[in-house]
Amino acid sequence: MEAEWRLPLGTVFHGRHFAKNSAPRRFEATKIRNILLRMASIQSMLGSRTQLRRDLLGYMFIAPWLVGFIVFTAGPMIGLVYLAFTRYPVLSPPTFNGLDNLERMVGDRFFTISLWNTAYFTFLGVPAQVVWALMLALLLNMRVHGVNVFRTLYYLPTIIPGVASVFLWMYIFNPDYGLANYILSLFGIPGQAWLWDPELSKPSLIIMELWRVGTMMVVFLAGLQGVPSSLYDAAAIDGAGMFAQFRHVTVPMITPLIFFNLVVGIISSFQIFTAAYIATQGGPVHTTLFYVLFVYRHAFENLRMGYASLLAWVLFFIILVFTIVQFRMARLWVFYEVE
Amino acid sequence: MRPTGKINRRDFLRLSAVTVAGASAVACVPAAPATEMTDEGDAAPSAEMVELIYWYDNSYPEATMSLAGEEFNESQANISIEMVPLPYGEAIQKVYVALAGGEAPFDLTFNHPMQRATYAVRGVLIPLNDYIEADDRVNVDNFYPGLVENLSWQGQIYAIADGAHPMFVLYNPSLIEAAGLEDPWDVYQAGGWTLEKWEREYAGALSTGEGVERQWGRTPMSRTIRLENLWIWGFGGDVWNEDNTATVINEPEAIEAWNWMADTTKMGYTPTPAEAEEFRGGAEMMNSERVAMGFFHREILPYLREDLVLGQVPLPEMPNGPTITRNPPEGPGIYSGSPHPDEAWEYVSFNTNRTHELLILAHYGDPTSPEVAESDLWLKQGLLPWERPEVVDIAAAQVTRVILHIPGIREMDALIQGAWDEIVLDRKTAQAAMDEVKPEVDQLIAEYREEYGDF
Repeated sequence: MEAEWRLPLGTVFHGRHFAKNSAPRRFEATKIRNILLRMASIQSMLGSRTQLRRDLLGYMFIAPWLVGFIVFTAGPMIGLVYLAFTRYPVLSPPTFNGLDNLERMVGDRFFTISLWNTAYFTFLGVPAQVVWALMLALLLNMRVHGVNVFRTLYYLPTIIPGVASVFLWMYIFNPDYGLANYILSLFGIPGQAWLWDPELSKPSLIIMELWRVGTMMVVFLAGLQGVPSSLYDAAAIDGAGMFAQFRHVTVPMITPLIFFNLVVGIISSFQIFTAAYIATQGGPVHTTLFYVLFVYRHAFENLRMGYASLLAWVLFFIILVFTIVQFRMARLWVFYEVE
Repeated sequence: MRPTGKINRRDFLRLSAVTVAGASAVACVPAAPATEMTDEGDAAPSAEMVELIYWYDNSYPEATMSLAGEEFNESQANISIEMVPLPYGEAIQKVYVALAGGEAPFDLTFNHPMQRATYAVRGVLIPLNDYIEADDRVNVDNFYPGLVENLSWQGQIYAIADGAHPMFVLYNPSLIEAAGLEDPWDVYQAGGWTLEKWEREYAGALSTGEGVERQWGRTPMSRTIRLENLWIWGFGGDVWNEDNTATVINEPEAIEAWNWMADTTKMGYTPTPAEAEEFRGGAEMMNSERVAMGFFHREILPYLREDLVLGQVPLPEMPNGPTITRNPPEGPGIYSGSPHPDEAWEYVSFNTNRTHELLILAHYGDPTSPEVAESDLWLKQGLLPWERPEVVDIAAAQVTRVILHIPGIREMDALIQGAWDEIVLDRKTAQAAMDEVKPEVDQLIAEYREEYGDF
């Protein structure tokens, strides 16, 4: 015999599930089960409402940032997608021109030059910055008298406005009496033209950027202070010297921070602008024509905003690809303590 | 115990919502019109006050421009103007961005030959021909040759120059004397002031010392075709061909000029671009007294040290004969989106007359016409004690040339300056560098002609 009860909530239970039991017991068991299910369902509804309310509140709190992001970042980015396929001379409305901008980009030797300059600056400059910042952090992690003063002094360049520090470095690289040539002269090396030498202009800017590694340094410093001393003690008992401890304890423990600094460094390095705009204006012989300067010139000097929009999106994809590649490769060398 | 006024999350959100709604409501209410009061304290009959805004680049002295604004406001019953300086290096970018928004927040903006075609073709500024014809206060018929054309496009005038900017050589007499050289003005008067004399003999003798004692004979060679053209003309060449359809910067006469300019730098008679970065512009070079001579127009004078006594001499005779040149003039134009073009014209008229005078009094401007050049204002008040009016007259009153600022000249110039770097750095010969860049410049000219029509 097969019984069927329809519950108010619309759930249908078939008696055949309880075929092995007697009918009254089957009924009782099913009834209790149904009551429990109804209670759980109400509880769940109540729970989801509370959750919804909490979510809404959360969104309200982040609304200012969210609105700002949508209006001032995401919106313009989406707008640029359209502009990338237009001829937009800024002072008159954009007109659709299909793939003309893409065609121009492919044939534009300055696109290649600016990309090469930027890649050179990034792939030589960022590793140098990371190594330099780590060295400084190691020094500033030592327990010596007055270390806090040194920490402040080494961080100071980071808070100096970019323009001011560029002017300072222009004095340092002055061919006639700059500090750089003075140091070379101490070793009997002839003075260089630095920013005015096509071979040295990019390395000079890389050196200039090394001065501003304070943020990277602080991140490393925090990481170094988080490495448990017990690991060093254990390594020391096993006979590891300072270098071995650094190689087998410090470096593996701070790989997440090395990774972080590399990712952030590469993203910002691809966008170098100020130093080239002020110190070299892209010269000499276009050797410091970096990508963002190239985009800026097309957008605001040559009034080719459509083309500049395409270039901006290309830069976005380049950075995206490099970031994804870094994240993929991170699995091979970044060690997280929880793993 | 005093109760603490804790606010919970819900109250905070309510309060925020009420504040935002209140602020929005207030912002949406139209502002009440200002009521003018008479001396007796009664409300004056309401005459609508028109408020103009002029965006100018701050190569103009700000104090003088502010004074011009104040005087204009005093002279007008129902118009006032706000003078807004823009940083020189990025002024044009700021104007472009404002225009890109559709409704720029100014009624007047500066116009320069570099932008005139763009502004005209895109309809940014309104033509002033009808205003000029109808207004007796403005007379451009007596302007020096070229001044009106420099700010016109296809017969329409888009701005009125407030200076002529003839160029001349400034020199430091103390350094000249210390080097045992004859005063350049005397040399000029004797008929011997040639390019060879200036950029070889004098510049060479005045380039001495090392390190912080380093001294150069003259200011750096200008890194823009808009001034390099003077040497190209001087050697008998040109920048554009006759119908402006191609560049001729790789022709033999121009190559001779490129080589001459590069040699001046390579010989150490001028600071290299890297060395020049030490100074923030030509005025600082002259003020430091580490550069003996420079190629300027009067706009530099307000920025010189007050105690500095310099000399003035016309530009030298070039190998191809005398070449007098002028830096392109500037002036305000009326924005086509301005709701008050007639009132804006009032300022243009004022600018052509009174602001022009004030700029002369500030030792910045120079006469736009022979009449002004002969006036007491110029001769008795406009000149610094050490200035020679003859020099400015020579440069301004004779037939002058200004390079044709064809549309896209800035983009083309970036290419040309890359080639110029190659020459100065001895990486390529002048011929090879200019041959290489010519097709690219020609390609751009063709593109711009397609967009702008013939120019």
